[in-house]
Amino acid sequence: MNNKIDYKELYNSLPSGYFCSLPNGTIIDSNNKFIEHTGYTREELIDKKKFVDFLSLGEQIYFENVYSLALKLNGTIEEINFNFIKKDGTKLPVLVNSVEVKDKEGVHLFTQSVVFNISQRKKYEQELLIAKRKANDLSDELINVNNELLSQTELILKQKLQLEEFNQHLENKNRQLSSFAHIASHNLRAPVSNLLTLSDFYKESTDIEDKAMLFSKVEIVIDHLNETLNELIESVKIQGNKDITHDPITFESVFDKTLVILGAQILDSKAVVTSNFSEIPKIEYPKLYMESIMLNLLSNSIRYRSPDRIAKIHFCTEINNNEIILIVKDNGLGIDLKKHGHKLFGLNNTFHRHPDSKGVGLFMTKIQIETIGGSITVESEVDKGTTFKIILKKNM
Amino acid sequence: MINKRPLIGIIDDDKIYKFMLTRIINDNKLAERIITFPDGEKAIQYLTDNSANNENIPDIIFLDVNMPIIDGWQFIEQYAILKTEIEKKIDIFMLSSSVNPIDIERATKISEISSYIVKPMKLEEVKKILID
Repeated sequence: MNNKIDYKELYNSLPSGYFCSLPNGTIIDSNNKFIEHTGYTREELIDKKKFVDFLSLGEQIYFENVYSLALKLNGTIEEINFNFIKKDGTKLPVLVNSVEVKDKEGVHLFTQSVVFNISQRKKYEQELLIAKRKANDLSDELINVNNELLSQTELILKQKLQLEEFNQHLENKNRQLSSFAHIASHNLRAPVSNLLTLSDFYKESTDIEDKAMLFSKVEIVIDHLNETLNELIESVKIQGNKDITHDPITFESVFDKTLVILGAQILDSKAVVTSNFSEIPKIEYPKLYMESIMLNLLSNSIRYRSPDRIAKIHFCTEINNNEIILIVKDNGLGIDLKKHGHKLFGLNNTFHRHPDSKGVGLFMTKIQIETIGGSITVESEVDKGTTFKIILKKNM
Repeated sequence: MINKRPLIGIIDDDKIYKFMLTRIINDNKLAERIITFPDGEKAIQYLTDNSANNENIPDIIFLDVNMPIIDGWQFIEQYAILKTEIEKKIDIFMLSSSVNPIDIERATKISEISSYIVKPMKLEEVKKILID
């Protein structure tokens, strides 16, 4: 055979380290790869060093207590990881397999060990670990970003709601402004122009009695103007007082108070006034406004009762679409809504020839209700009755 | 040719204004007679009751816009139906303290309204209307 294998050559050129040690650990032989791993020369190593000499203190303890013990028990041990310290102090991660070689009597002669360089694998492991950590970091970051997005979505939703509310508020304001312009045009301009004409008459008149008569008319206009101005100031005050406190009130208590205030009118008119607040007995609402709303609506119903039948007036509450609603129903004269609906809640608009009609109540009632964010609607049929439906506010 | 002085109707809930307009007309002897109504409903009632009586139908009506019961616009609507039964042609002048262009525009579109006049009405304007 030409290809006769030179075992010594093969042994030295093995791609992994190999050494042979006595039971006390002294290395008595090794191949070139192992010597290369240690960084020592063959002379410095053989018969001089033990395997533990290449280990850190911690690993030496592990070697004595775990590795040697297991080897003694099983006669073999595989794939134990050590950090091999080379002569120059650098470290080399290795896996060690060992086997005890014994004689026929079982006496431990020496130990053979293979040492694999796993620095490449360790590097991969390290890289994997780093990659995993990065992936974890990224995942954390994604979760954070996601959370941020969620909270931003929430914020946007909240802002959208705020915008909608603001828009509603603006629309209300706009309506109030246009109604204010209407009032300025009709309720202020007319008496002022009357005053101007009366004063012209006064200047031209030469008769003392005539002058006195004209002056008494001026006084009437001034009183009327003053009243209108006070009503306007009152309405502006209400609109400006958006932050008015909402008191916890029961409908019953405010209603009872209203009955006392209007006691004489109810008695005179023989009106039958009933109530049922059981569906929703309580609300947080400005007490003053609730008193004024109930007072206005009840006195309206009494004033515009039908002379042909006993007046029946009923107050009740209900909840619809999560909104608290006050309903006031009567069997009075009614209003032709086709004719008068558009000016029902205007200032100084009256629809009946009644001496007490001033047309202030519903105007103020509407302003109070809208300032709190509610609305008032009316259904009516002439000579059948009128039902006012007031959406007070959302049920909290 | 000198016309007979007209019969004038004033429909206005503002007592002071009615007093003033009446005084201007009377001081200047511009009317044969003046009839006043506190709101549109009373005026429609009167016109219906007197539709056959030409001498009781006003030649000229000064009509206020803002009134209770039946306002100026509603009066015009009802008068448009009623006028076929009335022989006399009534000149209606709409009076309002509203300077709102929408109101003025609306009035010019209604054939029954001769003119829209913004209050207060000057003596010259009253004279011009009644003498023409």
